[in-house]
Amino acid sequence: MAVGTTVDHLTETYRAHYRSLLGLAALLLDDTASCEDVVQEAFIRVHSARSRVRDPEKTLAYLRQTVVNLSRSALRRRILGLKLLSKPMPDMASAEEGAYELLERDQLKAAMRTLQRRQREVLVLRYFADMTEAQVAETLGISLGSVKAYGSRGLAALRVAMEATA
Amino acid sequence: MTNPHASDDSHDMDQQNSPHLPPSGEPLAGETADEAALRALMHSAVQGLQASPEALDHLRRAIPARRQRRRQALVGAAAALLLVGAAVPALIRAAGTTDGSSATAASVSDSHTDSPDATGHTLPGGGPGDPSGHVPPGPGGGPSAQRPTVGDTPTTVPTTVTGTGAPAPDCSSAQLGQGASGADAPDSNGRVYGWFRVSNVSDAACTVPSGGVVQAVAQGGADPTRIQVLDHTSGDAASRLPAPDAAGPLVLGPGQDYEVAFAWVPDTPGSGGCPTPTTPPTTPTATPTATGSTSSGTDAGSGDPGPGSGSAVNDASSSGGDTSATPAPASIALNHTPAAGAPVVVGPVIPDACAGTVYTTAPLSTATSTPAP
Repeated sequence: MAVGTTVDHLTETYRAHYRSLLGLAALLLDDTASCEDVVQEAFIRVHSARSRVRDPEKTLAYLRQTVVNLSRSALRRRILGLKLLSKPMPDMASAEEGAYELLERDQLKAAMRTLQRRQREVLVLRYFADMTEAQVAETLGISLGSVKAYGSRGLAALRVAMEATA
Repeated sequence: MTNPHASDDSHDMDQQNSPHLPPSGEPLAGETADEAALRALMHSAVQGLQASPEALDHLRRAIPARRQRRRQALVGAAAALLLVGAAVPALIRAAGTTDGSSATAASVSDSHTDSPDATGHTLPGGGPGDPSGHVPPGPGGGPSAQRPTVGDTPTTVPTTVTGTGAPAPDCSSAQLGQGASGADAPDSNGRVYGWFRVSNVSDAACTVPSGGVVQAVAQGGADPTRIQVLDHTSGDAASRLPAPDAAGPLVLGPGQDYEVAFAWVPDTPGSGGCPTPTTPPTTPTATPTATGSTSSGTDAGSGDPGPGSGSAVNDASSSGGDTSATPAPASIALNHTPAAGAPVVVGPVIPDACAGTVYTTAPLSTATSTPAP
């Protein structure tokens, strides 16, 4: 797709990936209420940099990486600050309240909260975003060995947490 | 809802450290049941999530806005670069990087500048949208007046203006434009007289800043080490230039212009200061046409080529040697940069000029004096 047709590219990317990125953010974030803000911010950041959308095949990778970065607490707080300043999104509690409330009560989600951040990121990217270990390593900027280690320890910790709440 | 999955997982936890072992019935090859269950759990946990109805519309608005913010940040950085860039072209030219083709003899009779067209029509004082980020002329002359200029000599002492009423601020680069230049045909001694003209294109009066520069760039076989630019003084070789006076800074009203007159005086009259060909077969002629038509041969033959001519001959022949037939013609390209960093006024190219002196005047009011036609 040409650079000049970014609006179409945006629509296409939105349709293809927005929902799955919402899920990615929801699994990564402690507060599910801000996950749409995170995804919005990720879309804005990636699509406002033309160099990043020049290769549509990489757009999803950029979006995922941005969501991961934004989901870390320090950055998220900054976004929430931005949201308060500019009110970019209407309060989204309206239509999706049910889904987010359900997520809040989800046992997996509760167990995920007990994981270390890196473990959570590796598991989510690996098993929700269907990345290979190498892709996870690249996205998180850590070694392949670290991905394996965080993944196995994360799985074990998650199992313990799930059993505790079961 | 996840309890059944979780209990299933626990049976297979032993396999988690050997993920490449392919268990049966898993959605992805090489995945443990634990991993497969987690995959399913994650997807089911968030499957109810929907984008808010305004999400795409919001992105359509927000992305261009963010782009604009990024661009503005870039423009701010670029404006700083432009300011630097405005002062650099003269340096580049002085470095001798002009290619001979761009300054041909076609520009001798009349000259042009590309940059005045670009900035000459800007609103006075440089409007807020002025792309080059000029500082509007303010009291004290603005920062641009302090920019160091190459070869700056205090031709006009920036004392207070006498007798012309209230002092006007120094012209900013945005105020100076519509550069022009011209030159006469060489006289019998090979001297070329000419002028640069720069207008105040704003509608406010301003003072021509001191420190304007005329540069001479050697081209082809011309010897850059033997070309100098001097201020015109009474009694020097450029006898037809207007006599220097201590009139002080020149104030330009709106639409008025100033001129800098110059004279090219070759080291050796009649040959443009070009070295004499010692061996006619190798160098066809060093002074083909435009110099004094009758005297070039005799001058060349009469000796007195000046010091260093032998090496200059070698330079000339070697520089032109790669083209088989004719050596690169020697010429000198002149340009003028107003002190405020206004666009360089591309001046005439003096053909068949190798070594000599360019004498220049201080900025002259065109209302009172013009150089000899």
